Parts: sequence; C-alpha cells; structure tokens
Amino acid sequence: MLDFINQHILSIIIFAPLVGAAINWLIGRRLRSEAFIGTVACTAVGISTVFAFIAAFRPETGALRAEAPILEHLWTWIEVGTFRADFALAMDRLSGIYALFITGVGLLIHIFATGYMHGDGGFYRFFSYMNLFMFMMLVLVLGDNLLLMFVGWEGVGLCSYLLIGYYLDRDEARVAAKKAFVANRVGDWGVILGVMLIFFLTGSISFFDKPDLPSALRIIGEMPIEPFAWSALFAGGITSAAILLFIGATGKSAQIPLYVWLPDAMAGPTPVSALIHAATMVTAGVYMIVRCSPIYAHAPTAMFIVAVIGAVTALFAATIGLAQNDIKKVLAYSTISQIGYMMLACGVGAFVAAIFHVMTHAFFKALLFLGSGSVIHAMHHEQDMRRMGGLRKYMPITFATMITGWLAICGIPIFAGFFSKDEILWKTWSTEAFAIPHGASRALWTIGAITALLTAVYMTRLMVMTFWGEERFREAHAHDAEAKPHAAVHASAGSHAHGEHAGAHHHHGPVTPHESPPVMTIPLVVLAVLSTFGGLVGVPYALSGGAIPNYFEKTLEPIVAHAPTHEEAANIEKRIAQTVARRGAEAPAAQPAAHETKHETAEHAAHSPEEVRSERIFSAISVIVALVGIGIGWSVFSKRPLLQMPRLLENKYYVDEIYDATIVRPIVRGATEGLWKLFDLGVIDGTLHAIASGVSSIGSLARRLQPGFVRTYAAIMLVGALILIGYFAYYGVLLLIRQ
Amino acid sequence: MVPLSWYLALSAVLFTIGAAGVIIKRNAIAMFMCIELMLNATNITFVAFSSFFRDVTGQLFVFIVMTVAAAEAAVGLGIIIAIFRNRLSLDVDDASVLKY
Amino acid sequence: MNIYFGLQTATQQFADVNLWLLMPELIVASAGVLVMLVDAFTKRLDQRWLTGGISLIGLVAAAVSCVWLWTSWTGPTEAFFGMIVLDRLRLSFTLVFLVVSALSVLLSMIWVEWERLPAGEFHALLLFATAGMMLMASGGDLVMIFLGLELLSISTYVMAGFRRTDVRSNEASMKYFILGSFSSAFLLYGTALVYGATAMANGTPGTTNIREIAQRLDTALYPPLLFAGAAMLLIGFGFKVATAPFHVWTPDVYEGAPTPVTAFMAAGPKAAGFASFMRVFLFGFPFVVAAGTAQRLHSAWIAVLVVLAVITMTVGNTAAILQSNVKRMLAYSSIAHAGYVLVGLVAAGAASDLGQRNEAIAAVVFYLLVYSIMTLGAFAVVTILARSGDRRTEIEDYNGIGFDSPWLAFAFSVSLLSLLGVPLTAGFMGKVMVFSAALDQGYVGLVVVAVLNTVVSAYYYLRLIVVMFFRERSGAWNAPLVPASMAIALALTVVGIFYLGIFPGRVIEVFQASPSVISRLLGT
Repeated sequence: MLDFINQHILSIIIFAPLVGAAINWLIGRRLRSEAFIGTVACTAVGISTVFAFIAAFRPETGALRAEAPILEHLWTWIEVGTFRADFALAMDRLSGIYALFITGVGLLIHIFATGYMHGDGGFYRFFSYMNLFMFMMLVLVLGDNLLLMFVGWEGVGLCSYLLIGYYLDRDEARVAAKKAFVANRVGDWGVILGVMLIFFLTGSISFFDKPDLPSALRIIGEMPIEPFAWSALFAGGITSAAILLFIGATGKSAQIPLYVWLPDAMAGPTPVSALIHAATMVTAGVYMIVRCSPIYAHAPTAMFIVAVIGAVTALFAATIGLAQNDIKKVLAYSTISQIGYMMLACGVGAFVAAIFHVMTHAFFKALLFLGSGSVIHAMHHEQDMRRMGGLRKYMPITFATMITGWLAICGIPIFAGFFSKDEILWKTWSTEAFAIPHGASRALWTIGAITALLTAVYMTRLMVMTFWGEERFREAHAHDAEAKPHAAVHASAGSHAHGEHAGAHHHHGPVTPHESPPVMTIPLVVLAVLSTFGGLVGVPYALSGGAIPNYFEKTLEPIVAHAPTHEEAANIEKRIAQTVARRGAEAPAAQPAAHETKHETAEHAAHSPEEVRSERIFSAISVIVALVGIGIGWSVFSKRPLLQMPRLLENKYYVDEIYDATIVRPIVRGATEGLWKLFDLGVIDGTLHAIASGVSSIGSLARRLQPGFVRTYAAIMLVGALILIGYFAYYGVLLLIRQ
Repeated sequence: MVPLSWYLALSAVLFTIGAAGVIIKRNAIAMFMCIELMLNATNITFVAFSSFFRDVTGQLFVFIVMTVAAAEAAVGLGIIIAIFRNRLSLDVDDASVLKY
Repeated sequence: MNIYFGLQTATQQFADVNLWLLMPELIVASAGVLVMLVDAFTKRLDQRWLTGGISLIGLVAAAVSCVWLWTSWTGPTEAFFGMIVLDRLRLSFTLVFLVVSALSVLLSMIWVEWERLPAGEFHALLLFATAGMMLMASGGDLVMIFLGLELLSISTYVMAGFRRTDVRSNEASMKYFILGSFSSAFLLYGTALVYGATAMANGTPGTTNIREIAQRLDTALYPPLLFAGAAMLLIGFGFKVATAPFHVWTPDVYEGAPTPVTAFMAAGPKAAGFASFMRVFLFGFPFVVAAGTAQRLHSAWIAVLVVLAVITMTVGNTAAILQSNVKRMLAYSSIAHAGYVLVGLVAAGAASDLGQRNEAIAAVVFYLLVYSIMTLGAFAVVTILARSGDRRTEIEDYNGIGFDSPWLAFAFSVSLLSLLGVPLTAGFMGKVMVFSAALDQGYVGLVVVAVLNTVVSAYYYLRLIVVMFFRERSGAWNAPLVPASMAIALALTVVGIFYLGIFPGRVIEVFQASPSVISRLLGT
C-alpha cells in the first residue's frame, strides 16, 4: 500500500479531483444533497492537497528538497517516428510550488464555495466543474512535456468556459464565456505552433531528461543565444518559439492585447473568479514562461517583449482599475495588473521573483476575491460599490481579513505582497540581462513604481467605498432613478456587468448586510494569515541581512535558467566561435558548466555592500510609494467615495469598442463582400443571433456554390475537372516537348 | 486502316457530348442517357486500344462496364420513378429542396 | 489447407485462384445474399433482429478471417492475376470498414422499425456496400477498383433514397445517383486512358494492373494520355472522398439521406475512397528519383493534392459555420476532414523513404478509423434525437437538451470534441499523426493551414455544445428513450474515442507493424 502510494503519488494528486468530479456528476446529481456534494468535492481536493504536501516535503526525495524531480511514467502516449509524448507526470521544485498553492488555495476556495453556493440549483454541476478544473490545472503543472501541459492548458480553458457561463440564464455570462473562449483560442494557436516549432528545433517536447528521450529545454539550453534583433522574431528559431508561446500566455494570463476577456469573466460565480481568474489558471502563462525559461534566456528579443508587455499591461490595467465601480471588476483589473508584474519579472530575467509573486498573489488575491464574495453574498448579489459603504461594522471578520489583503497588495512591509513586489521592482532596476538595454530597465522600473502607486490608490478606494463611509445600500433605491442615465451610459459602453446590476437590483429590496457563515469566514482567516506571513519564505538578503534565509530563492534558483547578462552574452558569443573552430564533441557539454560558475559568482556579487545598500533604499522607496498611494486614496475617497472618475478610464479606454471597430467590424464588412471569411468567423464576437442575421450576407458565396440544382453541381464538378485535366495535360505536353 | 487516334477522338467527343448533356438537360431520363453515353464513349476507348494492340483484356472490361451500366440503369430508373411518384415531374431543377 | 478449395490445385496452371485471399469479401457478400433470402422467406415479425443479427455475425466472421489473414501472413501476396492483393493497406482498411458497418447495423436496427422500412433489404444493401468497400481496398487492378466502387455506389444510391415517400430522401438519392455516375464515368475514362497509355513501343499492350502501371510509367507510349488518365482517376476518387470542388454533392445528399445512411456514407465510402485513392496514386504513380514521366506525374499529382487539401479544408470549415441544420453542418465537417486526410495522403505520397511512407499510410488509416468512429457517434445521436422522418435536425432543436438528456449530450459532446481534435480524444491523435507525417516531409505551410482550419472549426463544433448546455428550451420536450442497440453503438464510440485518444499506441503499432509483431500481439 505504502509502496503503491509512493510510486503513484503524483497520479493520486491529479486523479483525486477527477474522481470527485465524476462522483458528483453521477451520484451527486441524483442525491441533490449539498452536504454530500460539498463533502465529496472538498475531500477530493483535500486528498490532493495532503499528497501534494507529502510529495513536496517528504524527506530525501521530496520535490522541494531533492535535486532530481519526481518522475512518474504512466504510459507512452504518442510515438510517431521521432515524435514521442509520454503520459507522464513530473514534480520538480517549480511544479511542486505550483501544486502546493493550487491545492492549498483550491481547497480553501472549495470550502468557501460550499457556503457561497448554498441554495443554488446547480450545486452538483458547480462542484463537478470545479473539481474537473483542479484536475486539469494539476495536469497543466505536473505534465512532464509540452503536449501534456497543453492538454491541461486546454482543459482549464474548457472549465473556465463552463464556469464563466455557469449562470445559464444570464446573457452576459454567455457572452463573456464566448469572449473568453475566442481570446483563448487565439492564444492556443500560438501555443500549438510554438510547441511544433520547439519539436522542430530540438526533436523533443519533454521538459526533463529521460532515458532515451532528451529534454527539449536542455537541448535549447545548449544552443547558442540568438541575437537581439527584431528579425529573430520571424526567423523560425528559438525567439520565434518563445514569442509563439508568449502569444498563448497573453491569452491565458490576460495580457495586452488579449486581456479583454478577463474582466467580463467576472460574470461567473465569485469562487470561480477567485480560483480560476485570480489564483491559478491565469498564472499558467507565467508558469509556462518560467518552465521554458531556457528558451527565453536564449531569446533576448522575446524577453524584451515580455518585459515591455508586462510593464505596459500592469500600468494600463491599474489605471482602468482606478475607475471601476464594480467590486469584482476592480479586482479583475488588479489581477491583470499584477500578472503584468510577473511578466515584467520574467522579461528581466527574474524568474524566481515572478514565481514568488505568483504565490503571494495567489494568497492575497484569493483572499480579496473571497472577501468580495463574502460582501456580495451579504449584499444579496449586489456588486456595485456605489451601493455599499460602511460595511465594517456588519461584517467584522470579512473586514479584518480584507484589510490584510489590502495591505498585502499595496506592498506594506511584513505582508506577503511587499516582499515579492519589492523583489520584482528591485530586479527590474538592477537587471543586467542582455535582453534589457541599459536605459530600458530604468524606464520599466518607473512604470512599475507608478503602477505600485496606482495599485495602492485603487485598492484604498475599494476598501473605502466598501467598508467605510456612509451606508449607501439603504438609500440605493431612492437613487435608482437618478442612477438610471448612468446605467444607460455604461450599458451602451459595452459593460455587461452594469446592465446586470441594474437588473439584479430591481429584484431586491433594501438589504441589511450580515456576516457570512463560518464555512466562508474560516477560509478567509486562513488566507489572511497566509497573506500576512506567506512572504517570509522569501525575504531578500538585503532586508534580513542573512538572518532569515531566503528559502524561496534557494529552492527555485537551481532550476530556472539564468538570463545571460550583457557581458556574458559577449563572452558566450566568443566561446561559441571558439567551439565552432574546435568542433570538439565535449565543447557543448563544457559550456553550461562554465555558465554555472559564472552564475555563482554573479550571485555572490549581488550581496556586495553597496548593492545591499541600494536594494534597501529601493525597498524604502517602495514602502513610501505604497504609503503615498494609500494616503492619496484615503484623502480623496473617504470624503467623496462617489467621486466621478475620468470617463476614459471608466470606459476602459474604449478598448472593447476599439476592438469592435478595428477588428470585429471590418472583418464583418470584409466577410460581407465574401473576403476573409475564415477570420471573421473566428473573431466575430459571435452571438448566434449576429451569425443568424449575418448569414444572408456572409453566405453569399456558399449560396452560389450550393443552389440545390443538380445540374449546377455537375457544372461545378466539370469545371473543376477541366482545370485538373488541363493542368495534368499541360504537364504531359510539356514532357513531350522536352523529349 | 483507320488510325487509333481517330477512335480516341471519337470517344473523347462522345464523352464530352455526354458531359455537356448532363449539364444542359433538365429531364432526369435524358441526363441519365447522357451518362450512359459517357460510359459507352469509354468503351470505345477500351475497344480501340484493345484491338490496336491485339489484347483481349480491354474488350473483356467492356463487358464488365456494360454489366455495371445495366445495374446502374436499373437502380437509376428506380430512383427516377420514386421521385416521379412524389413530385409528378421529371425536371431535375424542381428537386432543389436541399440547398445552401 | 487447400483441401476445401481443391479448385486451386486443379486449376493452378490456368487460373491464379486463391479463395483464401478473398475470404473476408466472400463472407460479407454471402451474408448479404443470406440476408436477402431470409428477408424473402420470413415473416416481417422480428425480422430486424434476424437480419441484423446475421449481418453482425457476418461482419464479425469477416473480421475474424481478416485477422486470420493478417496473422498467417508471410508478406504481400496477390491472386487472380493481380486483381486481388493482400497487403497491410488492404487489411487495415478492411478492419476499418468492418467496424463502420457493424456500428451502422447497430444504429439502424431500431431505426428501420421507427421508419417502417424493410429491414432485410436495408441490411442486405449495407452488406453489399461493405463488400464493395472491401473490394476497393483489396483490388490490385483499376478495373477491380471500379467494380468495387460501383458495387458500393449502387448500394448507397438506393440506401440514400431508402425513405421512398420522402421527397428529401428522393432528392438526395437522385442527386447522388446522377453526380455519382457522372464521376464514375470520369473514373472509367481515366482507367481506359491509363490502359491505353501504358502500352509499350514494342507492341506490348497496356495494363490496368497497378503494380505494372508503376513499372511502365517511364516507358509509356502516350504520356499525355497517361497524364489525362491520372487526372480523371483523381477526379473520380476526389468525388468519392468529397474533396473540393467535387464535394458539392455532399451537403445535399448527407442532409437528405436518412440519418443512419448518412452516418454510414460519411464514414465508410469516404474511407473506401481513400483506400483506392492511396492504392492507385501511392503504388501506381509512386515517388521516383530519376527524372522522367513517372517523376513528373508524381510531382503533378502531389502539387494538385496540396492545393485540393487547402481548398477542401477551408471550404468545409467556413461553410460549416453558416449552417443551421446539424446534418448539413456535419456534412461540411466531413468535407473538412477529407481535407485533413488529404494532408496525410500528400505526406505519404511525397515520402521518399519507405519507412516514412508506411508510417504516413498508417497515420491516414488511423485517422480514417478515428474519423469513422467519431462521425458515427455524432450521427448516432442525431438519429436518436431526430426520430422518425428526420424531423428534428435543426440546431435550435438541440437547445438545452444537455440537462434533460445528459448521456446523449455527453456522447455527442465527446464526438464533437473529438472531431474538433481536443487532446485526449481520438481526433487529436489522428490530427497529430497526420500532421506530423506532413511535417516530416516538410509541408510546414500546409500543416499551418490545417491547424488554422482546426481553430476555425472550433466555432461550429463548440457552438453545438454551447447550444446543448447553455441554451434554454423553448418548448416542452421529452428526452428520447435510447434503444439498447443504439446505446451499445454509442457506448462503443465513446469508449473508442477515449481509448484511441489516450492509448493509441497499440492500434497504431498494429497498423504500422510487421506481421511478426502482430502475431506476437495476438499471442499466436
């Protein structure tokens, strides 16, 4: 028994939620007992959590302790020629950390959801989907090759799609599900082509070295670094592969330009937003990039693009977040912004910092979402912050826990977000990566710092509007008449959620908020503890002075690639020239070793006194920025919580409208003329009604080809036949002439 | 002796007439006869090659083709009768419920 | 072992007879005749179980004989003067056809009763069509392939019009018949031209034997005729497998024909068309290195097929998006899938290395097996939901059935996801195999187009799933009872989709493997 568990521990981790999903779908549906369904779902995830901890921390072979990953080969999935994909699981330090917080945070959210979804007609459906999501997410991070990762990638997309559209009767949920689907599909296309290209370059898609199957990442790690040039993007080399994968990441992790689906995805139930659209799935893009860090380390152009997109997204989303009135929308834009930070970290080569932020973000963002869920639950599904206010005395536990989340995201010391965000900003400033030109690191840092300021402002605004000030929910009805024109404006601006609130609002009378039941507050408390102390596993050397070792960095550093610095890039190029000259068989093997020593010295250099001093200065700046932001937020919004924010921001820079005008509509128009049908049909925002009404114009060509007359068909075939015969005959006659 | 190319040309012309007839004719029976014409044009090619190279297999194939054509005729006429019973028309352009 | 077939020893000098080699075809055809007799001499009562049972037994027996041929195989063999060949291509395709037919029998057993149609006739036609398909795969001679194709076509013409009193069924049958015979004429003319063109200058007459054609390409007396003949053969097969622009019949016929017949037609004849297509073009006009007629011909048909594949995929997928009728949508989807298979066919044709060619062929066969299973699964659900008279086949008819009829909706979703090619389903494996074969030959552009097409196809496949699960039903609706035979068919397709998607190795190995490996797998 123990042996069995030891050998199949990873299978147990991934399959327990799948079994839970199946039980709930088959049996839970019949029983209709919330207790049964909730117990099954939480137990399934609980089993995963326990075994994930065992797998990660067991003595000697634990994934986070040992050097070698835990490998578990289930079967060889595909073997065609040289192409081989195993159905095999692997847990190394990176996937170990991911598995830990996915199962841990997932478990808390499942428990919370048993309270939140209480009384919902589709209880069994909800928990089946949630468990299925857990399964897919774990496949994504524990899969040992790109293809299996892609299976999970698609799977979480499917579950996200199902859960966004969970409220079947709401139109905007369906539209949002569709939008998420289309945006992710664009990204998937990038991933598929990227995986194909990697296979083309290396002949393997495995992450790890196995007997008779080399690791694609190692092979790329031994290739020369590509030059920093825009032409490399289209050269079909490592840079192209990196960019294709990054296109996938922009879809899944909601970065510019494919971020538009995430805010709309808030139409799903709040636990879904917390689990999928904040803590786990949306960070899959970061996981992929860090997992493929050797690829990015060899593609400086791609790294630069990742950094710029990340920084710009962070700033852009933060400004939008400033002006949203829907509590979940604020958090959604905040999520986009925080993932932008993670991308920025990846781009400047600080892969460890990126993962660190992923983890702390999972804690505090899940906390904030669940807290907002608790508020929404208390307010009977009211999400508009303009109709809240003064909730702190009604919901003391929710309030207290939200405070920790707020301080964490703002970056106040001790709280988890401080260490990770500070680390990213510092690494951005001090990066030596070849990919980032010298001036650019300063510019990126500035963007990051402004974003930090804005983050503090909008989060303070959220807290103030929700928990302090006068109690606006009572007179909400009185205001309703005045609010109407507003609502009309928003609705016309394409904000589906607003329409929903106006609609939902009519159903309820004035409400008295109440604290949520313990099943909801206990997860909040646990997450609050994690958000407070979770950052202590990664205290940088400069702040602790070595008193607390930086466990996080020590664990992850060995397995991520080291992005070459300017100096190294020059050296490596020289060495490659020598290698080519020598053509020695041992040269490629020697190269990474040299790489390694270089890297060691670089790390030691980082602890030099002046470096430590400047890192401390930057930490101080971060804290000041956060405090200033909170100050601004407090002073502006505590007096005037309903302050009208700039329309441009409130309407999200009209990006939806711009996409509609520049991409969707021209394509529709193009299609009307029979052109580019291919794309139109993929991108069209795609309500079925639009298709139905557009058929008469779009389908003109298809109609002309299929009029229903058999003689026309014969004519079409004859024309095709004549062309074919003509082509062949031309070939034949040519041959005669040649002879 | 008539050269081989004449036979081939005849067969090609007949085949083309048949193919054109399938497109031009609206009567199901006439279309069907045009298809028969195409098959028989092919038979001419078989026979021409066969007799030109003194090889009996080509002529044997003609018998096979004729048998197949007969079977096709039986089935085709059956289908045409079935459609005539329901529609009381042999105009193939009338049968265009299925389209787009 | 020839005791039972003394004929062979007695007539060996005169005729190259080896009935063992024809065993599967003989069994299926005899079962067809038996079904006809039973149909004539029994009462209508319980007849469908009888004829359906005989059909199933016949198909299983044929499968057994096929496996027996495979295990006792010592290498490619021929009989009847090269008319019938025994090789891996034939055997793997034969197994695909038998699977398709068996599932079709299961599908149609109750359906014939719903529609009050003569079960015996239907099953007999199905078996004759199957025999035709098998001959198309086993024929080593153009004339044999033509015969098989006609046997298949004539049976399917009748099946398409099987609901005699329904104008749509009539119309489908008429269109199929006219266009089908039209294209058969091209095929036959192509055969005649190739026969003439392969004559040699020394007075040796031409040939229709595929192996001999391949040997004589460079010495062909009339190369232009050879080229024109090849073009016409391509048209004939292109019609059968529904490649654009010879696909025009497909949507109308698939929509109008009774749904189980559509299921059969979408799976079986298409696979059979590809069997002959591959036989003739891969073995008749193969890859050669030396410059000459053969090399020219090869590059010509490869170039044409690349273009046809692109057009076919694109036309199929874009047109499918616009459809409001599920059967019609699946018809366009089947056109798109023919395009994907063509990608594999191109890869097999272009392969210069024999091992790679065999792998590509195995990939195509695997794709067709997978495609047949998932298409049959999808049409099975359509059959059940449409009930008699094919009344409910519009997409609106599927609104919100996901929660009233979860198993049907689940089976349908699995089939659709597999058609789309979602990982872990068989369709994904099929696409990986076919596309990677094409990548091996360097057709990167073609594969990119195919992948983009897959992305486009997501729209209409998922739309159906969305409709089933996210739409509300407007009117009252009772979930249909699923008869046992249909439930078995559906369960088999779902299991098959997952099995081939998760553990494809065994089957692929069987398709690629040398006979000794097969024997080992079967423990003989």
